[in-house]
Amino acid sequence: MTTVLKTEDLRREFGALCAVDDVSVEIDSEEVTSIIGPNGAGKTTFYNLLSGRLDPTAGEVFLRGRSGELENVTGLPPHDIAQRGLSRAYQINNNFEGLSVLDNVRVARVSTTDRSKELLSRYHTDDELREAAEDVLDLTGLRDVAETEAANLSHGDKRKVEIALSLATDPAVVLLDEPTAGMNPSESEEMVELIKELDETTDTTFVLTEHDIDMVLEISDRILVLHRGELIANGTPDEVMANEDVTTAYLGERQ
Amino acid sequence: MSDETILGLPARPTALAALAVLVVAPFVLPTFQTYVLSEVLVLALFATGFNLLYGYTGLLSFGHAMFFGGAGYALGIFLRDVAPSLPFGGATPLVAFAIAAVLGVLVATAIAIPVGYLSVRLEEIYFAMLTLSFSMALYTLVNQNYFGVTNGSDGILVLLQTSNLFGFQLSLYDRVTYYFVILLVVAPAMYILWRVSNSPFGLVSEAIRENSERASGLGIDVRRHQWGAFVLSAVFTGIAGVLVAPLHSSLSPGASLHWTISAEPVIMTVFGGPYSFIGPTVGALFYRYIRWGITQFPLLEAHWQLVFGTLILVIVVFAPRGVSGLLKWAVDRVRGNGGESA
Amino acid sequence: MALPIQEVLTGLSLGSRYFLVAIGLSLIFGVLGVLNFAHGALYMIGAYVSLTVAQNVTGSFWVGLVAAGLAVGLLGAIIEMGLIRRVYDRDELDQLILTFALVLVITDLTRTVWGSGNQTMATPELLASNVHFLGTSYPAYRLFVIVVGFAAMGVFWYAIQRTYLGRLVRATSSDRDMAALLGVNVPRLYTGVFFVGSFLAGIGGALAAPMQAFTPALGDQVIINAFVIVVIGGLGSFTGAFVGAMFIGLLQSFGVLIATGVGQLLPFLAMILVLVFRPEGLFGGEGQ
Repeated sequence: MTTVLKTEDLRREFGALCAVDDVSVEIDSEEVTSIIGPNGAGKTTFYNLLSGRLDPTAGEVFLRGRSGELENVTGLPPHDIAQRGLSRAYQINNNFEGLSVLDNVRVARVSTTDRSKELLSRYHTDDELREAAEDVLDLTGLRDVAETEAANLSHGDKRKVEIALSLATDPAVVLLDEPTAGMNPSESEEMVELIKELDETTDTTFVLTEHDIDMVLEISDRILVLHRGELIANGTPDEVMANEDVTTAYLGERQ
Repeated sequence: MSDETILGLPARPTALAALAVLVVAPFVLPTFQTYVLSEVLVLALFATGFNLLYGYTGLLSFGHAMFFGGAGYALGIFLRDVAPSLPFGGATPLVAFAIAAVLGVLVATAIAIPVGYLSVRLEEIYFAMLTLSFSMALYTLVNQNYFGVTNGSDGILVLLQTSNLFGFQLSLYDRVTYYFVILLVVAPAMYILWRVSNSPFGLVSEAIRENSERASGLGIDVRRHQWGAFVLSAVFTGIAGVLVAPLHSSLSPGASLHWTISAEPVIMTVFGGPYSFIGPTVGALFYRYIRWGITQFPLLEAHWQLVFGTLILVIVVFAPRGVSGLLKWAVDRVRGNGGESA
Repeated sequence: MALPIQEVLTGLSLGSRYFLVAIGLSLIFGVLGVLNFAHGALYMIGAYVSLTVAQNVTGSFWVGLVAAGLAVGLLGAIIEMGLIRRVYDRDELDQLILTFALVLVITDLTRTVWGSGNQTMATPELLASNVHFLGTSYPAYRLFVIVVGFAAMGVFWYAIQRTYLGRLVRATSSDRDMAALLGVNVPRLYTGVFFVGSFLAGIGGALAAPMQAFTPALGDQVIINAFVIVVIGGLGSFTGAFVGAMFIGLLQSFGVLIATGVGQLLPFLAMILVLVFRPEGLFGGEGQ
């Protein structure tokens, strides 16, 4: 097992509320890990702590990114953690709306290849950049809409741009936040197939949060269950489904 | 801005054609019109430099006069106090001007570095307010003559002399000669700005404008990038500032540093359209020529603010992409390109 | 040396006038989210309307005062309904540019109707004398202006804290969408807020008219000071508008004692300091 992402006693308080309560996990680079839990369980806060958007009240985060070493990234700013190899896709579409799909991905590539300070080269005529971006579009099935302005895409395509952006930086780990949010069943199917394919064809480790339990069971090698900020289960799909604490948490919430 | 086109026309031929027109113009136009065209060139640089920060990076500065006027004042003070004692013989006026110009741009840069650092930490309205306050603080300092060198509200005269280069007389105060000085500086400067706008740096700027949080999530140090854009914008504004001072033969706080001067590139850019490279230039053209046109009709002249205000209102409400957006839309229609709405 | 009562009173009377502009600016920003560049121009119109109504039409300062408030309030409502409403869904910066364009239009129209020369207006007879106290004498009119300023703050504070309308304003300030969901008629509220803000600016201008010679450029001068005040006090904070206005008024009043121009420089330095160290303003971050 190679740990690609790890937290130790990660904690985040908001005043009297404890949104993430001493969570310790190790995410294996070979596995697809899903995080589930009722609403308000702390999944988004957990993601924000991992990506650097929030600082923890206590505890630490470790990332094995580009350097190949497991580094302590606690408290680093988001762009720094992103540069080290952690990428994130959002629940609500968070693209560069006024730019074309191709340009969206180009931005990611420019950042990854550390070219954002280049003042005089012309990016339109840069074939290497274009090809790298188009490769990502091919991976995510967006080649046909490359020149379309992101704002004008269908919801499903916008979700794909979301994924494309998070992959375009060649990350070690991608955090997907409810990738099938707002999708109809056939779009969700497509997304699931896409994630499976990407997991097989790239070196990137996928972590996702989801409400769609069927999807989670189909796609995950490991499931983490959060409830009121605490990690109440950590195991294979079978183990987790058989876990009484998990059923109590979900059933209890439904009242 | 996937622009390697100008208003929907291919970039290179259009730019070269425009340049050719600009080179020939002073030989066919009356002297006054050459003067007006000189102003247009300077204003175009001012507005395009400003737009590097606004249209491309999404930061609205209400204080660009501090670079425009600050650079101009540095030039003016140098020419007044230091130039007379320079030892370059007949070539002194030209050399003095060159040194003063570089000095002016350096001063603008020196102001931009700390101001930019502090300002980019703020969002939107607060960024605009902070740049406004720095600019008005400078205005007040110059207007009250706190440094003792700015001559308060009366301002400074900026007069260029004749140089004697190897027996050849070069009168920089001659309108046609100075026009070519301006063109010689503005053309390459605009080209560089164009390259910057179409560079990876420019693309990242646009990403930051669209969604700074996402840009950050992709690994971009947003604050640092904005700071860089700010300083670059100030440099080109400073260049415009040193060019305009001798053109008007004078500097004063009201004409160089007041917030109404900071408003000019804003107006021009909104007019012309902030989302294309050529927009601000189109805006500068309209701005200057409408003002000239208005002077031909005394009734309108007395009400130029009303005319401008109404035009801006119409543009903001009905044509957010400005005049250049409208022009591009028209060109696309004529050429049968698919296009986005104006 | 005697207590600087004169300077304090001058500062407070200046602050009271600034407050009437700043409170409207802050109110409009807090509820509508629009920074109204034209607010200084509205103040200026108040002065002109008061001048015309008081001197040429009725001969009564008091009628002119009320007329100014109502006229400017109405103008504000019309502007909101006709123009501002079209750009609510747009960028804050587009809105700012729109209101800036309004400044140009309003200033020019004012110049067309009244000319660009200096206008002066007589102090109303009732208040034309000096009041003697604490060893100094001070113009009664200026004291009146101070009273109006403080009274306005008092009324405002009461209205915001204790009335239904006030609660509405507070709620909409902090969460526009929620307010709409709760059944608040948001468009009408917006127009109402714009009316009130403009009304106050108009009153402010009318009060200022007898105190100084003024031209259409009055609006430009006032708006910059108003920006400084609301930034220092906190955009959207009413307490902040009051404290900020008095602070700037006093700063300018005492600044004259130190050196010329200090009164103009210090406000900008104060604004810089606030924006760098506490951008939400001294009282900001509460929506109050």
